[in-house]
Amino acid sequence: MMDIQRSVVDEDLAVIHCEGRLNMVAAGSLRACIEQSVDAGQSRVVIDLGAISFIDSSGLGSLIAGLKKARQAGGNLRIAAATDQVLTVLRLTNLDRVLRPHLTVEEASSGW
Amino acid sequence: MAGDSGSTSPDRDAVYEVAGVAVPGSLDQLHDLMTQVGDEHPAVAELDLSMLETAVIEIAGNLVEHGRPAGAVSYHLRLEVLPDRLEGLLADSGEALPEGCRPGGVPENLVAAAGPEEPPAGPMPDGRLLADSPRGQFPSDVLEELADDDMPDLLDEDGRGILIARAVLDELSYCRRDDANTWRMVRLRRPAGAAST
Repeated sequence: MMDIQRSVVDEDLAVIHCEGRLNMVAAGSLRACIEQSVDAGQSRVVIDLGAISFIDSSGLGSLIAGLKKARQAGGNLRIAAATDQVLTVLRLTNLDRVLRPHLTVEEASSGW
Repeated sequence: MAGDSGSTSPDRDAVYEVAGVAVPGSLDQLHDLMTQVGDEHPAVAELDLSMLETAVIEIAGNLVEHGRPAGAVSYHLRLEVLPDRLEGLLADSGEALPEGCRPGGVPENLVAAAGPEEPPAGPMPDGRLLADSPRGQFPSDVLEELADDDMPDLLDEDGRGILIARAVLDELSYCRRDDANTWRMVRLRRPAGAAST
């Protein structure tokens, strides 16, 4: 299971904190949360993956969907604080090219 | 759950099994089993175990999504910790995988060679999906080595599951036999401190 919490940081910036396993059970919730954020005007989205212990292809799919949604609205989506398993899967799928891992939420939240 | 098939293994403590119905909620019990393996085998490198877990969840997720009849497919995972490798066998009672869900396709003659069409239907007579055959007896003649495919386009939202499973494993094979789909997943154990995947 995964817990999701969205914090509006700025007029156009939100940070979504995730905790648990980002698998097919949780992917839909994250996707919906990102869409909500973009629809509410926060099209710059930072996903805090610091407490995500595991991601699978469904979870990656939700991040990609969120990335596209944010870009369509003129924003972007960044990921931060990813753990080893997440970083490895990102690298193996080459998705680190479009979802460049940021070390911290603070780093990801600045310099858009 | 753990070790209850130990009679077939020289190392009782190194065999773990779990069975269930292929629905999204059941993925958690596979995750939990992996956590248990890690707790009970601290010598197994965390990365090796997490990569096997990645593969198991991808293959099981594939089953949850594409297994037919939907919501009524039983699965049985056997996980073995060996000195040189981690090995998972995931069997399910579902229909033969449709072409699109097979890793690179399994030729018809391979399916035909895999065993009689009937009986038994579904699980083993005692309700298990995996026969008590040691891993050495896994039918190597019907193993399908996966062909190389490229990852989908970077902005595609799906289509990566099997490819990820293959990338994190040293061996991934599929066979259709005795009315069951069986996946064999092998992750060789890296020496302590070894880098990368």
